[in-house]
This record gives sequence, C-alpha cells and structure tokens, in this order.
Amino acid sequence: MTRVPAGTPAPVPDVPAPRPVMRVHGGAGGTRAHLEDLTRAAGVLRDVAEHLDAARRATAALDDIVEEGARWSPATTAAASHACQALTAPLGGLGSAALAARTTADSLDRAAQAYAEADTRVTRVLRAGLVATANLVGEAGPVAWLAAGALGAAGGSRLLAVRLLMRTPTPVGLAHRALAAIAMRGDGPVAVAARHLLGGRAVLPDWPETRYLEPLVDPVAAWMVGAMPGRSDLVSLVRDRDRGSMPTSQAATGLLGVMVLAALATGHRRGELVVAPSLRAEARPGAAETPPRDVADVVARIPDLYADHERPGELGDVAVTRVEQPDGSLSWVVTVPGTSSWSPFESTDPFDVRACLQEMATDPAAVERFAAMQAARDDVTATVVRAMDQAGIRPGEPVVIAGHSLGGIAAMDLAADPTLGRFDIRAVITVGSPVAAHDVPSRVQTLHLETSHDAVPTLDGRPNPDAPNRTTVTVDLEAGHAFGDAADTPSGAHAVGVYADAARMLRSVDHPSVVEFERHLGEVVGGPGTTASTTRYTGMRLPPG
Amino acid sequence: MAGSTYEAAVVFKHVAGELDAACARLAHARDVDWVSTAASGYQAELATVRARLRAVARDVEDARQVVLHHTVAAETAVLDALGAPPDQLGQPLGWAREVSARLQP
Repeated sequence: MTRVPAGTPAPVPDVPAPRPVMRVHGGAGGTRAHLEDLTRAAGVLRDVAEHLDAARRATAALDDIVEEGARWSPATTAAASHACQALTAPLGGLGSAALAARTTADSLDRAAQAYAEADTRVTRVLRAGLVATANLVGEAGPVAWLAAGALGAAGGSRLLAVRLLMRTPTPVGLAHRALAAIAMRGDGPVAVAARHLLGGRAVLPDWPETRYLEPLVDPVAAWMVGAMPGRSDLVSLVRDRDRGSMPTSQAATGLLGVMVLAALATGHRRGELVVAPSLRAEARPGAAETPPRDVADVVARIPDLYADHERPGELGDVAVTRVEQPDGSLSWVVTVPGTSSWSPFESTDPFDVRACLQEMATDPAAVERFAAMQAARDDVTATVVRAMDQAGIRPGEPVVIAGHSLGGIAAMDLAADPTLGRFDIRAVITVGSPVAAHDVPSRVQTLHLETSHDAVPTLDGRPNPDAPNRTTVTVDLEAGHAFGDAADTPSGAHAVGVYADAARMLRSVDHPSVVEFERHLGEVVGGPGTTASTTRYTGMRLPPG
Repeated sequence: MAGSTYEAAVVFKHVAGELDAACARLAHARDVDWVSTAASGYQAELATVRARLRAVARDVEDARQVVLHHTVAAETAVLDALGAPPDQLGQPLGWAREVSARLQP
C-alpha cells in the first residue's frame, strides 16, 4: 500500500513517522496490496544490480590504464593489476554482488507471487465459510436469528462491562486501562481489534475504520438473503465474482423485490419522471462563474446541490457546467448529489432508497429477474441523462461526472453504459460511493474518494479494484485535526461537506496516481482563459393520476 | 600513456558514483511492510547484499589507491623523461599521446 503523508515533511530516522493522512491505491501509480512492497523492493534490488553492473563495466578500462603504465613503472604494475582483478573476480567482485542482488530480487518476486496465491485461496475459503454460515442462519428462521442475536448481545454486554470497569479505580479497572494503553500503541490486526474493544473515550467502542468492517458485509448480506422468503441459492452466494459482492447484490435485489411487492400490495404507484431546469433560488442558469480546475473544485460544487430540508418539498439538483475553452471548444462537468429520500415507497424525489438498491443490484441474473417490475434505468441516472441532453451536450464533447454517494454510483453507471455512447465521458469522480462492482471502460479515468470511517463505500463488500484507470484515495479522518469529530459517527464520516474538505487536501498530494488523474481532468476542463456557466436541473416524479 | 591518472580517477569516480547509487537504492529496499516470519529471512538476505556492497566498496577504494599509485609513478617517469614540470602530473595532457609515441622504445 502506498501511503502519502499530505503536506508533511519526510520522517526523520528513529523518530516515529506521522500518521499518514491519505492512502492511495490503484491508478497510474500502483496497487493496494502490501505485496506491492515486495515487488517494489525486488525492483529496487534490480536497480542496485544495474548500478553494480555499470560499475563493473567501467572497471574494464582500468586494465588498459594499468597496462599502459607498466612500461614506466613495472614495480607497481602487479599490485595494481591484482587490485583490478579483485573488482571483476567471479567471487567477491562487482559482478557477484550484482548477482546476489538479482537473486534476492527473484526470491522476493516468488514470495510475492506465493503470498498472493495463498492470500486469495485463504480469503475465498474464509469468506465462503462465513457467507454459508450466515446464510444458513438466515434460512433457519427467527429462532436461529434470536439465538445469534442473543450471542451478540451477550458479547456486547461483556464489552460494555469491560468498558465500564475501566472507569473504576479498582485493580481490575487499572489492569484494563493498562492493557488498553498497550493496545493503543500497536498497529497489527490484534492490536487494532483490542484498541477498538478497550480503547477510546466513550463507554461504547469508537466507530472503527470501515476497512475493518468490510469483511462483515458479505455475511450480513448473506444472512439477509437467507432471511427473505424463498430458498436462496447458496452456491451462487459463495461463488467469487470478478467485481463486487454477490451477497450484497442479491440482498439489494431481494429488498428491491420486497419494496416493489409492498408498493403493489398497498396500491402505491410510481409517478412519471419529469426533469426541468431548477427553480431553486441559488440556481442562476447561465451566470458566468469561475471554471473548475481540479478535483477539489468539482467536488466543492456538490454540497450545494442537496435539497435544504428546512424547505419542505425542495428536491436535489443535478448541475451541468458548460466550460468553454479559448478556442471555442466545449467540455462539460456534471455534478450529482446523493440520496435525499429515505421513504420505502417512491415519492416525488427520484434520489431515493429504491434507486440505491437498484444501483447495488449489479448481478445480471438478479437484475433480469426484476426487470419487469421496474424501469430499465433507475430514476437517478435517468435524471442525469435528461439533464445532460437538455443542457445540449453534443457527441465528442468531453464530459466529467462527479457524484456523492448514490450520485457517484450513478456516475459510474453512466460511464459504463454502452447505450450512452453519445456522451464522451472522460472522467468520473465518486465521493463516498460503493463502486467496487461497477466497471468502466479503460478510457474513462476514475477517482474514488473515501474517508476512513465512512461505511457507505464498503457496502459493496469489496475494495475498489486496482486498475490503471481507477484510483482510490482514502482520507484518514483521525490523522491531524482537519476533520474535527467527523470520525465519531457514520453520518459525520459520510457528510458531503467532509468530502469537500478532503478533496481540497488532494491539492497537496503528489502521489503519481492522483497527479495523473488531476492532469487528465485538467485536459478536459482546460486551463487559463476558459469560461464556465452552470445550469441546474431538478428531477421529480409527478404524482400518479 | 600520460594522463592515465586523470583517466583512472575519472573511472573510479564513475564506479564510486554507481556504488553510492546502489547503496542509496538498497536503503529503500528495507522499507517493506509485511507481517510474516519470512520477513526475517528477507532481512537476512538483504543484510548479505549490503555486506557484499560494503566489501566491494572497500575493494574499490583499495584498488583506487593502488592503481592511482601505479599511474602516478608511471606518469612521473614519463614527465622526468620529458623534463616537464611536475605540476603536469595527473592532468589530462593533450600532448600525452604524441610524447608517448616519441618516447616509444
């Protein structure tokens, strides 16, 4: 894993390094696995060997120099000749040192490969075991759920007792505090688990970094699939997918089905989607503005798109920014907000839970199963597409789409959709979005911004894939004091304002993947002399009838 | 042959530069983040490579002193034969090859 301390000086030897603010994986600069370290070290050792070989080649000239001087100083020739031979000797010379470096590099490569294979196998077996067990508990019915819940509650109450005990001035409490202090210093998986169980400020454990929760997503989803009516297909649940999690997809499909059936049972009908220029006061269509220059500028536009909950009935907007280059050519920046309606039934707001589930149900078979009950495209992506059409985006004009949460998933969905070839989508920015299951063509550069304590990006149960066109940046909310108490709650860690702040920190990151993405984005949005104007659109479902 | 001290010094400077670069790169190879018993094996292999580099660096330094001693001795002999001032020693002398040819036994 490549760690990039943003804006911090290089650590001084023997002084503990500052906690890295950002972790970057994927993209032009490398991949996420710790195994990358091994491969990188192997590359370094090969470089060492190259330098040694270059030195060995250079020493060949010394033989001639010594030989030339032999006529004039025969007494010193033998010693000089012997010294030169030592440098090129098969044992102990420069060449043999180069060979040793290369041999170690080969060992490292083999070790990395073996680790990767073993890691994959172990992960598959563990995941399959957990998923199968959770699914069987789900299938077993309410009694098994209660038993599992009782076990969980018993564990939780013990944990609570420990944390309460830690606050007492008793020998046991002091011992627990001492253990917690030790755990706070460690960095291994055991120390991390102990830190969350024993450490922290409150009686209840702190909200942990969500990368530690990601492995639980599959079992929980498998339990949900099992708990739903009908027999679940265990084989398909434990089968590994190239991208994303099958249990999550099936759980989302199942929940979607339940919601559709509930709507049918209650006579709730879906209204027709209408997309029109926004009527909100802050939407000033066509007004000249400062063009977006980088990721931070683009992400900064998203918070304003959410509906103000103080104003009843207000809906979120999709913004389409027209960027005109000095030569008259056009490019576009589309920004999309996330979920704003949590109603189980489809209301006037298309940015609802149902759209989330529809976006999470990425398994083709599951999607097909429910295709008859829902529109071919969810209303969020439909809103964005219509907004782009109404804004007048023409074929060949480069487009950047950025979205928060559900908006980010929709952005990935649009970039991957072959039927939308009329839009030349060049880059996608997602903030706080679960997009591991979404694939995009290699020509589309994507940057996924996540925070360390945001659970939403982990809902797909997998880390984002490492690919040259996919860069994931995880911002540590607990490093430094830039984010206040955002790490304390799931909602704080997912807040769009926190992401806007995190995006600004990208300006001080010099990781090659981030730099390359910013360069690519800069090519689309242009440099000095560009002008910009934004039109905002609102999607709304008209009440049926 | 005159000017060989200069040439030898250039060669050794190049070799030392490559060795320095190799040592600097090797320092980065230590920065491996893994949790495994194999890590100690890797560190041992790395220590071996580092020890070899140190030994080679010592050999290079020894060779530099011996070879430069040899070339200085040879050049001094040439300059003596020419009656040239001793401050020409170790300079990249443009006339070296012509002089050397004139003094050819």
